[in-house]
Amino acid sequence: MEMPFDTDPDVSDDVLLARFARGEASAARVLTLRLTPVVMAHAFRLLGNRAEAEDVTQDAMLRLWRMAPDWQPGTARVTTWLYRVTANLCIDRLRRTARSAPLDTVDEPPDERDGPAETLQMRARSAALQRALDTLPDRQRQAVVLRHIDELSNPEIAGIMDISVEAVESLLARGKRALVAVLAGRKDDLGMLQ
Amino acid sequence: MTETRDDDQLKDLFQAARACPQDPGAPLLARVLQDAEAELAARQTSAGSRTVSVRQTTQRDWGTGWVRALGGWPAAAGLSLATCAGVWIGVAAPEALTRIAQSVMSGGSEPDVFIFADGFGLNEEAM
Repeated sequence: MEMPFDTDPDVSDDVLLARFARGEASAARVLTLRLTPVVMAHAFRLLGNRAEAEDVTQDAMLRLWRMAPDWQPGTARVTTWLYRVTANLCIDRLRRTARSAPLDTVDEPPDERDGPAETLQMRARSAALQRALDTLPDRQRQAVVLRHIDELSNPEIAGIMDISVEAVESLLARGKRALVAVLAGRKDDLGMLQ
Repeated sequence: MTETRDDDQLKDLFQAARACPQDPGAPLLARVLQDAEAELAARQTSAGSRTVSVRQTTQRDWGTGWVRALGGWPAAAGLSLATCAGVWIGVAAPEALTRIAQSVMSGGSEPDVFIFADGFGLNEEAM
């Protein structure tokens, strides 16, 4: 299905959601294009599995559509709400499946058609990071992903996780320390600094 | 600081992760949009049902609301009986009533009670 580009880059998510609540289907198309990638990227980093991330993404967006009539513009950012819903869905899914060991995040074999070696190395590093993230406790993983992949500020993360900024900093410190320890054995493969 | 060293060791990995996001793909985008459109349709259907329901309720009240206003069916029955009696009197009035009416309309004195009684088969002796 061919989707149009986001034609309203200057219109906020707030305004678009209000339009959707009033019945404008065009607002749904723009929000779908704009927000689905954000949710998908976040869900994948929390779950480490594409199929499960797709399920969570569709579920989170469905909740957005249903919540739209009750949305209070100006009280919070739509993405903040989505990050929180996505994380809750991911954590619920992880606890339901009682996943104590990381998922098998299968490395895609290098494909010569994928481009230069630099791209292949980027993908290898990304996959290695994901395997390491999968070993972290849920809240540490969530904090690290929000800060260092989604690039949100500590106060924004505190709002999403409903904790203090100090608690966010603590989660980040512990999470990164654990990542370094897990990745220590693969430093040379990944070209990490000594 | 430990944190700075950790950041240094991880920054290339984080950069790689940001450069390789999981693209949702067209099928997932289509499903998300279908859900949105279904939600819009469901909301419109629900709003339409509520409008019909209000209209039906209003029509029902129009048929029975006046009965409640009068105080229920017993009161409405009494009113109906009184109305019928009034119509009957007007159509087939007893002779005495007719005389009284004529007396009043002509500006005469107070009607004679005995004349009134007479039209109803009550004789003066009984009065």
